[in-house]
Amino acid sequence: MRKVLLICALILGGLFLTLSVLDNNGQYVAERNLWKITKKYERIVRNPQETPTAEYDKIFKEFERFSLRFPNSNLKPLSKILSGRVYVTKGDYKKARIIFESIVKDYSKEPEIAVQAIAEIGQSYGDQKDWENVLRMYDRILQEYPLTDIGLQTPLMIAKFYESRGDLAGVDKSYRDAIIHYKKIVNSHSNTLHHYNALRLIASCYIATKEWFNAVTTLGDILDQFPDVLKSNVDQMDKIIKTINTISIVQLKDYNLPKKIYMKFLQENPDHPFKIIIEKMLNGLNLLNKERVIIEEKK
Amino acid sequence: MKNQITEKQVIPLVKTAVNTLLRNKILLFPYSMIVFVQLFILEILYFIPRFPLNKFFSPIITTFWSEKYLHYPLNLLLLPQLFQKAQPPVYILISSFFVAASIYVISEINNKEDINILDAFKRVLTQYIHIVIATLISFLLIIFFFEGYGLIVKRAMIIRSTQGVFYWIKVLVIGGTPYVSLLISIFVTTIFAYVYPAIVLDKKKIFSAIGINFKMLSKSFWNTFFLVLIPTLFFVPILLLRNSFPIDLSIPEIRLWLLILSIFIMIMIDAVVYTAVTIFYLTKKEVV
Repeated sequence: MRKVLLICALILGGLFLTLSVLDNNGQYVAERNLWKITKKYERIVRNPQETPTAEYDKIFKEFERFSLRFPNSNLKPLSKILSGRVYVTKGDYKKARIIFESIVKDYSKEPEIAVQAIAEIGQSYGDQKDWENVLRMYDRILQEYPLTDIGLQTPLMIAKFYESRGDLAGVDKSYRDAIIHYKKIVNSHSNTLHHYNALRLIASCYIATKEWFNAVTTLGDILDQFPDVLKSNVDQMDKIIKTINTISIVQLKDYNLPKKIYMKFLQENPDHPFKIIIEKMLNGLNLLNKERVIIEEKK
Repeated sequence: MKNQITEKQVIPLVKTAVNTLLRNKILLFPYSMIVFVQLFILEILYFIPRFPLNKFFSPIITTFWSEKYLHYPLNLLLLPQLFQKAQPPVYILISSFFVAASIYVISEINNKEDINILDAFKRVLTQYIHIVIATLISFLLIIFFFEGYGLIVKRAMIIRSTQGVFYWIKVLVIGGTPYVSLLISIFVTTIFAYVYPAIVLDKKKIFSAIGINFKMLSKSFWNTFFLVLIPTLFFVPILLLRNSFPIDLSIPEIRLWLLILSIFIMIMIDAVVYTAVTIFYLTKKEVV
């Protein structure tokens, strides 16, 4: 009986050891390690004033050790960025920016990581209320990484930056500049996903500046030019249709504009999965038009 | 052990069961086998997100849950669910066999015969099909009651009151789910308590064993119910702990440790319950 129990214990122990060793430096172990270091870092963020200086250095070293132990992990860049944030939290912005700059250099061929590091530099200037350098970093992103996710959002972030400071002329100018910037992307990256994203962002700019007609026609352009992209993106399609309807009915009081967009869409895409929904939408619009329903925006 | 227990003495009977288990280590062997199987399964499930098991399990987890559960610490949130899903086949095909073997060993102890665990396994193996069917029936009954309670929970979910009687009914029904589930298990274990002893000790077939079981139950339902209930109450602290841990802990592994602890506690409860029930069964037979 004891022998059997011993064999069972050995099987359990052996299996545990084997499976642990086989994945000693794998993705899961990396996730677990980084999660634990990040938790320690979050404790500091919650109470930076009362954290001793040595604690910052200790956590920074833990992030560094992580990068050394998992050199091929896709979490390594995140660990590097977090190590820079440790010094931002400490208030040692100079050192933090040196770390972020080294990430930009090391990951120059991975734009999404490099641009994140530049955004972190911008954030660090923001923490110091150094607005000039914040804007400089926005420009840098637009120059170096305009097609990354952060790069595409940057023109809108600039407008929001001016908005947060109450500079209305700056807000207006940034939206104009943003539209010009996105139109350039549309022209230079025709029929690509960048083109699609740029159109969406142009529509956002028009909505922000209350240029309702332009907003609706831009959304109509997306339906017209990217029906296949929207086939697999139900959320986006839903959002576009709802926005077209809301703006046309509430702001423009125009039922014909969305009807024209939808009829063209159905004509060119008779087998689209959204066909039935759009047909129902057209019936609804016809009924509202017939009844001369006017919907006002809630004040 | 003979002539020590009258049928009205539930607490002394539970005590006798515990003492029997402590004095006869061989009785713990079948339960140790159940622990081994459970820990083995838990170990496999724990290593699912890691190489090499992730090669096989990743598509399954991604299809039925989400890819995020293959990453730390969310995998530990899914672990109890996966472990729960593995329980029915283990319970029906493996645990039932070892519990039946322990019941045979108790009768051997009672008869003061030399105990050979291999003989016990061989004996139980001849009745295996009846044991599996009996377990399957009790399992289906548990599912039936769970589904019934599930309907009550669904109805409670649509109660919109934020105060008053209906609000409290909603809170009790939803919050009490783990405890009601435990009570359902206790009830079903009670109404099938003597099926295993009848199959193993009297070599009865399934339907005849169920007949004997209900005959005994009709005379001593509440004794049997408390025999099952009292040891099972030790599982309540585990339920309380299990339901009070959010995932965002500094040590998410606590969920794993809680599972391991619950395996040991559940097995100890089973050991005491089935030992007590078997002693009661043997005593009643001797009285008759």
